[in-house]
Amino acid sequence: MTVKEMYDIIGGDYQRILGLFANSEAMVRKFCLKFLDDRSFENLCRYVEEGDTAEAFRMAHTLKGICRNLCFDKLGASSFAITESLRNAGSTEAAKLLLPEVAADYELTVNAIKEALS
Amino acid sequence: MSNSLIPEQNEIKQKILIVDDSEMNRAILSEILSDEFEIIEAANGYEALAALRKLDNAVALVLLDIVMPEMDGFEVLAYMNKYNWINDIPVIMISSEDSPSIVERAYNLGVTDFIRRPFDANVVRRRAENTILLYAKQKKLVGLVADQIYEKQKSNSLMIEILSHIVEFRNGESGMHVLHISILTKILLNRLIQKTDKYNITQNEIQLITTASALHDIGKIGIPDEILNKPGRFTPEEFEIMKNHSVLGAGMLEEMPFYQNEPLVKIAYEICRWHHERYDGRGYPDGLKGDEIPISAQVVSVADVYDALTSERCYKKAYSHEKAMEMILGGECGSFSPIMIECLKDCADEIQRELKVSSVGSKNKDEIANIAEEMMKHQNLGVSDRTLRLLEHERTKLQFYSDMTNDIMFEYTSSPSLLTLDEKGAKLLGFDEFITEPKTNEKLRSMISDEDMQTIYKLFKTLDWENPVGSHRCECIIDGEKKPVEIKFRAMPAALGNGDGYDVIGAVIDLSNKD
Repeated sequence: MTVKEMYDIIGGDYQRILGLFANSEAMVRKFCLKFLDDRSFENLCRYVEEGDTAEAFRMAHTLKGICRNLCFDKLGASSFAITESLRNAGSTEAAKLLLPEVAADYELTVNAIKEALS
Repeated sequence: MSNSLIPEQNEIKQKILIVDDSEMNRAILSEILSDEFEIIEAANGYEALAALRKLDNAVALVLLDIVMPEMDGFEVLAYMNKYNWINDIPVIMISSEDSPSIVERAYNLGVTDFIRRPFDANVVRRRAENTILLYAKQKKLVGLVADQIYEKQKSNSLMIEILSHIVEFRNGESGMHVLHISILTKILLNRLIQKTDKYNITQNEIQLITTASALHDIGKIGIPDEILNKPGRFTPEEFEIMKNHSVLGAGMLEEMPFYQNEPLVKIAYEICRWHHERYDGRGYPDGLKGDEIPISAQVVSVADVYDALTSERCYKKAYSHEKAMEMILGGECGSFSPIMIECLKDCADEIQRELKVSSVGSKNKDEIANIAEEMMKHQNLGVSDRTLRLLEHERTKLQFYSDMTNDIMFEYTSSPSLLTLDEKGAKLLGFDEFITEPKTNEKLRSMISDEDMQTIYKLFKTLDWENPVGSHRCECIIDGEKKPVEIKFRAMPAALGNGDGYDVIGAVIDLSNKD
């Protein structure tokens, strides 16, 4: 699988990320691989479960930021939604409803990266 | 744009501080910038402040995220404003926040630029380069302007000194009188503004009044020689002629064809005309009373009388400080406002010390100190290279002294709650040099009891202008051993009296090795 095909599968924007990373596919690969080490998704799940809105917000926000940086549009959209549901929120109830979609997008993204790049 | 366009230290890479809680995001920025710049990373606001404190002006640019644990990007900006770092260190905010109010808030707090995610690698690099270049140019310009102001002030006061010495020499005096008057004027005014804000005197005006004080007797140039230098007492007629010097001096200034609107000329006019007025209204030439007499003339009047009494003249010997004070307080030598008399009393020690050491040569040094002081006050001028060199000098000195003792030196700021240890002390205790939230720091709590710690915090809060220094004796675990120590500390002047937290410096002195 090429990097472009991987981006197509996960609902990302390959042309855009290539442009943003100064046309270096090596850099795109490097940071996609690095995404596998990022723990903000796991932490998000944990804090949502624990009901810690402040930390859950921060983790969702970080995840959203990373997705934007890498042009993972689909995961970016679902993590944006959960971020906003947690901003100044009194509980993580709303986030709990949104978490399955984030999890599905995350799985899809991580699996595709593993298949394409490792 | 190539690297070579970034001025100074071409071989040494400029430092960029990347502040983001996501390692991933820091890595991407680092990848983009590390060819050209040295990258320092911080994972939250505290780490960012600690890095800025440690590296000071060596950071050329900060890339700052907003949402972070411990301390967020806005708080970092607030502290950078509080310590005036924001004027010297540019900040580019990088965030995926889109809300216009957040962007606006960031700009209001002084960020140079706001970059949204996802960002273009080339754009980030260009903006970083441009921002650093712009700031470097601006710093250079500030340095040039500061040097020019310095030169201009130097030649200004040089001309005034020459002029006033002509008057002095004709008067058969050494020229020290003019110097003494300006020293006294400055000391008294600085004390006056501490005591009252009634007269609305700025530091700039203190500088002007001090400079203009040298001109107080220029009118004597119009007094005939035989009267001016008469050794004995004046006849009433002669005294009337002599008294005329105040009106003569003011008239000379008034008749100058140019510069009538210069503050220095206006103040010099006040001083020349009214430095022989009396607070009770019985002085000359106009019989002004109380605060009808401009404060510039009131101050120079006290300074003139004090110096006349304590100096030797052709018609009298020098009186001691005590005798002079007695005569002034007793109303034998004029009439002054109660607050001027208080200032004179308050500053007795300083005045004696300053007048003793002052020589014509030391004037220059005073002036440099003045100008440096002024520049520190004018935010828009920033800190010139000259001042930075002085700071560097002081820092090296401190480092040297600290190396020579076994004391542990520390600095504490209450907001953000940050304890900074000297390098040697940190090593001795096995601590980091920067401890955030020391109140809850486990390592620190294992070294000193909570009770002693609380006592020390309480003592910190009692420090003020009158009592800036304190100490506390207790036991501490140092290097694995329980030792009796004395902790001495001093509130820093910048933080005193602004009500908004406090800064304290201090030392932990190991008493077990002493006596």
